[in-house]
Amino acid sequence: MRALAAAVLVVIALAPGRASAFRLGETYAEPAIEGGGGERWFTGSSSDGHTCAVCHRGGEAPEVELRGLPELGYVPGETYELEIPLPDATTASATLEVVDALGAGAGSLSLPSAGAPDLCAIVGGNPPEVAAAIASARKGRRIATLDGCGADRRRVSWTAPAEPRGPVWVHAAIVAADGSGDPEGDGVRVLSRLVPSYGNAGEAMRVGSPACSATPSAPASPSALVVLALAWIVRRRYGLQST
Amino acid sequence: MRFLLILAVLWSGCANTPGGPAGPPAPDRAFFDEDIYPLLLRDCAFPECHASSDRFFRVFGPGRARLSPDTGMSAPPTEEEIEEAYQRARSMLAGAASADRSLLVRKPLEVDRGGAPHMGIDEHGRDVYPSVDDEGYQLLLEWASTGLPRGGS
Repeated sequence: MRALAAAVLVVIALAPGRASAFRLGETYAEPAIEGGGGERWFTGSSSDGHTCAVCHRGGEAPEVELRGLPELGYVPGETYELEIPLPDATTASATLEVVDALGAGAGSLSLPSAGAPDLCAIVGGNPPEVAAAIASARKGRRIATLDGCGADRRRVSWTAPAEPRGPVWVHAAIVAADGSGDPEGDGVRVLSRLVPSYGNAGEAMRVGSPACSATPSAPASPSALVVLALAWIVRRRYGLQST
Repeated sequence: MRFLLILAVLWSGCANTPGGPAGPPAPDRAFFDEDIYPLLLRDCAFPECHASSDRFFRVFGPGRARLSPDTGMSAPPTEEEIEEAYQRARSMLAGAASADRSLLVRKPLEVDRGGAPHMGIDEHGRDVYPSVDDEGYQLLLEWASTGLPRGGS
């Protein structure tokens, strides 16, 4: 009996650490009074505002990148496999979403269809859990939450809008937790990337930001976003061609 | 006798007489517990923002930062945390002629929509509530209006 208890303790001790408070995807949708996000996902998108950095702080920002974005712009209806390779799979988690100029969800997100889903590390002999989940929110937003649980791949499929909708923004916030169970000592990286529609790279130029900005600063002011959206609508309606 | 007279005058000056300095408004407590405390938890109570003892306006609770280090991160809100949030929130109404002019209501609103300067702007340079139509703003205003005249907006 004592040996069994010791074995259980060893398994618990060796279990991968998880990012603190918001380590599970469903936590973001839970009521704030219960410690959840109250439907804030902290992606940093124009519809969410806050990023993970409102809580997590003090640690070194993880060196991460967002792979799989179409370099020449998205093709309507096309599906892209996005991937965030993380330096330490056991303690890093992330949220990701794609929005248009008005902050509405752009296209759809789903778990990867090809190959096995990304799985958490096996703990205590239990079947491994899927490390990623997709949540829905108002304004047609779809948010991918990627748990910090030992999975060595963090992928999500993004299907671009069926019709051109002007440029879209991919927002991702990644937390590298120190395993302390509180937000202190955790590092945060916020990625914000503008993706024009295919053949309209000028869209990226017009909002004054490089197509692949990895800085946490804003790609454009809200007023610029509105102007851009109006310009795109006018162009679509009257068939004006960009020069 | 003169000493007693002076004492009586001083005492009357300190008394809380009608028309004298008033304390902060006392908006509806049950409304606060039911709707406003969860709203403040959702929108304000982050360690880098108002779940911090460095701020005058502070809100502590589950999933954010706790008032007492002995309270578990995910434990339900304590009476002390709700009371602290209530007292701080009502203090943010003090001195305002109407609810819509109070700091509690104006601080999280965009400046160009009538808000007051606030450090809590997001990555896009925006405040918590982009307009007076935001349901969070409306809820705050409704609660503040239980302790002050509502005002024009």
